[in-house]
Amino acid sequence: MKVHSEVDTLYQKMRGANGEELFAFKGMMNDDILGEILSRVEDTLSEYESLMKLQRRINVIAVEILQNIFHHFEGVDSTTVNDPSHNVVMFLLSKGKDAYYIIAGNYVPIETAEFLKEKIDSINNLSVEELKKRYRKVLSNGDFSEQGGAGLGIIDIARKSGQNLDYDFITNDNRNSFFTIKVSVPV
Amino acid sequence: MKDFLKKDTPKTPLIQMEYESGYFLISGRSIPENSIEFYRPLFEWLDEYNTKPQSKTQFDVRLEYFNTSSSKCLVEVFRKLEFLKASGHEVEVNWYYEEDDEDMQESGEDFKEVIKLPIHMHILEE
Repeated sequence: MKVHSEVDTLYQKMRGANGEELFAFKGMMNDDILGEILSRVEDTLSEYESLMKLQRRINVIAVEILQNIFHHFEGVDSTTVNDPSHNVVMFLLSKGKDAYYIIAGNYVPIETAEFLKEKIDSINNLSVEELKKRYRKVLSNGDFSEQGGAGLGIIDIARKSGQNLDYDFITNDNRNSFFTIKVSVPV
Repeated sequence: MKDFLKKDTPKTPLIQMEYESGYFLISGRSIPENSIEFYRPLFEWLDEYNTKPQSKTQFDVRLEYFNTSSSKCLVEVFRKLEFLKASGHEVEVNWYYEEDDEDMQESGEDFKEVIKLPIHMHILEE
């Protein structure tokens, strides 16, 4: 599909770029597909990784990215999910020498891309101790807004990864950006 | 008052709240899409429990892993138990994690820091 040509190019570029590819998906997103991706990731990990704690860590990071950071926001702009030109998600799991890599991309409204960028930038600047404090603060603050929810998700991913979070986004109209996040999980 | 029981699924935990004994258990995974919707019946049950609680309530948490929206709901559950404790009832929380699982250990410590309840940490032997 022409409209997804940038996403196609990106997807092809990402495939095989981070060691051995364990699972790769690009296509339309809905609740069933989300569930399917998560169960495929889980099955793959139980086959490739013997450490339960690493399996769990990667599973929960995948859950957090797909449910909270991405899927979450589709509700914000409900037209996005029904618009075929903007309903494409990519998800890759691969294993390099020292780490697993999770790369996920999804269309989000431009404002969301900006929000995610700022959130990730600010979180990447925090030390382990500061991350812990930030997480606990958000956790104890009763209600949390839609965006606050994604905020907690990003902090959680950063803590579990222990590495800076990589991201990138492509914007080619005035409404949506294709936002990609890359998380490494050291083995 | 009836017990609150929910079987586990691949995305949601087992929840077993026994009224007569005051023994509460949650175990398994908690990664529902819509955590608030999933936990709402439990919140309602706990609100009712708090109107006629047992003198001692024990809550065992044996979760494998959970998403951040579930962690918000767990805070809500703990807040209700805090209320119980503040009104003079005995409340004890046991947090179980596997020996090498730093993530679940860390999560337990996060709650310990944020919640005003005695949370005892227990290592599960593999």
